[in-house]
Amino acid sequence: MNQHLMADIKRTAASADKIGAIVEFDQVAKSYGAVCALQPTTFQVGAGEFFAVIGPSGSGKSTLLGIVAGFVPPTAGAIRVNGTDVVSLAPYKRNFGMVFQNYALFPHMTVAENIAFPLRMRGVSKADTAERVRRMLGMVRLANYGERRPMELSGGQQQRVALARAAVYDPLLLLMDEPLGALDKNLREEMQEEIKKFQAALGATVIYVTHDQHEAAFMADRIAIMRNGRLEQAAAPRELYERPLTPFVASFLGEATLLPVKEILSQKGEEVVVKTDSGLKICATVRSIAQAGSSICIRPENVVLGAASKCANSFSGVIEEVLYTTGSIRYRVRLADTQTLLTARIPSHPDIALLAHGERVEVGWRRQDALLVSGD
Amino acid sequence: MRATAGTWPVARWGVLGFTAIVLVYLVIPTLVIMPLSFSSESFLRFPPPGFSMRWYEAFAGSADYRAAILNSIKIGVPAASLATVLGTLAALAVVRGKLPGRRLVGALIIAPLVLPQIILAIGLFPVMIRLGLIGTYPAILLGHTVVCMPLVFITVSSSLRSYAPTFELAAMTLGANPWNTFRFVTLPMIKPGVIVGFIFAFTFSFDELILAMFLTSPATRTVPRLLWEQLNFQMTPVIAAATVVLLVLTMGLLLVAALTERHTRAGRRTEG
Repeated sequence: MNQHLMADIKRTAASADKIGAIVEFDQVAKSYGAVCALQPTTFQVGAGEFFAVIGPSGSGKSTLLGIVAGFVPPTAGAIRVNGTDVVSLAPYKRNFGMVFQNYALFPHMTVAENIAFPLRMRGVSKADTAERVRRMLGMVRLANYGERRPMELSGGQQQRVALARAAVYDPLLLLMDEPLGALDKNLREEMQEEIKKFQAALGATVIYVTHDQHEAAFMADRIAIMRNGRLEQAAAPRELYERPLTPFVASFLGEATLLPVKEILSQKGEEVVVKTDSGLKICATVRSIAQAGSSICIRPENVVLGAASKCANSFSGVIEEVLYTTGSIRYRVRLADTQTLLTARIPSHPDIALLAHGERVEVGWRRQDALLVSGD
Repeated sequence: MRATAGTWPVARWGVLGFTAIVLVYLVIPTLVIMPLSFSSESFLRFPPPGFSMRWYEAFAGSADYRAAILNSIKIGVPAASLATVLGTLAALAVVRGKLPGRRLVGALIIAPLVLPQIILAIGLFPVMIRLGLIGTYPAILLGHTVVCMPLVFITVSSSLRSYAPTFELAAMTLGANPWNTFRFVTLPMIKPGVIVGFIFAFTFSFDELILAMFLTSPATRTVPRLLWEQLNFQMTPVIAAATVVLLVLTMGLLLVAALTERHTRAGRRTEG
């Protein structure tokens, strides 16, 4: 009865070599009546790529994952997996693996039975099943836990069982929905590395939904940032951080001071001079045509305190807040225009004297560190 | 309510005392039947003048009671089975399905349990005559199925509500079609609710009198109906003995139901 499962989605020649599928999202959209949960979205996930989707709650990331898994029928668009549109396929015919936030391990089955379940559904022989379950248990370092019940395992161990169960049938695509959301911080960091290694060993394509930007930046090859049912930007973590396209992306991934721009005074190639809403004149860099309604984005680690006269942008200000975090000091500086509150972060060192609250200070940043980003 | 009782000891003792009084008034009359069944006398009289087992012997030797017990089982088991299948399906549809007006449907399913049985009996009586089923096994069996189904519906619904549907979603992503998802995931998860529902349904059918009076004939007469008829003609302690046997059986089954529920709840706790 299950022979058709594999046949439903053609594997590419490359996938025999344990390389995950290529997934194309083509104008995929979802609305509930008049409420739009996902605007037409187009992007591609490469074979074997670790693709993270992040965004605040209600941004459409869970809807997107539900559509891929087959739980949520899209209103429009196509999802092609190795070229085959899967939108009309039932979830159990898609041959994807999915890891849920609460693991969803079947409590009435042992760990080994849980991992064997997808193989049983595919009519794999008993001997073959036993062998693959054994290999999988070894891979997630739970070789002696096969006979235990899921509830007897710790959160991290359950997580590993869920991974093993979702991967034991070499799925074309692994979907993960906040898989580390229920774990405490230390264990989460440990599991991040573990999942990365696991994915590399399998060569699987992964779509990973999380609300944790650090997790996404650490794990993913590329990150898609969602907002209000829209894909804001999809790029490698470094590019997202260093070249955000929108103010939202700039502030969602990492920290940023955003200064709304009132007027573009001049543009010459990438160099642009703008006037902010608060009246500051700033030399900035722009990747495209400068538009009205943009913002200047300044990363805190690029702000220079003290001898800032060498910088293209230099202002005087007053320290309003001093915060020590492990390894660095974070200052909030009120600029002379009185409206702008600039965040600066400098590495901490025993030789560096802490600036005091209310102290006058010279602040500045280079032209290339002030990025003009468009949109709201 | 709970907060009030918790913070004010007076209220707590009051509630406790009220519960005790209710239990005493409800349970004591039921227990009075026990000493009566061991009476040495031929009338139902309290307190009994002496001890004997003769009424139990009479009960065991009675062909009427034997036939009635057999009838009760012949009706109770299939009625409870049918109610279990239908009640489980109804619970799945109402709790997990997306049909509109689910609350109303749920209320309608429970209605036969809440409404007085006499109303159902009066309604079913002409229908069964029309169908030519009156006095036959199918008549009482269907009648009991209608009143037993809500019991299963309630227990299975609460089982379904006790866990998120993520398990079913997970099963589907793992390649289980809807039938396999039900068979390997949903059914094992709701099994306690189904078992308890079946036991409730069977005990209900086994104890039910009103529908039995309307829908059975002397050939399909159940134990409660036989007891009722005997009470009208003779007041011997055989009735008491029969009642005690019924009581012990029913209590035993309900105990099994309670243990099943408690066992699963303990299991769930460790899991969380």
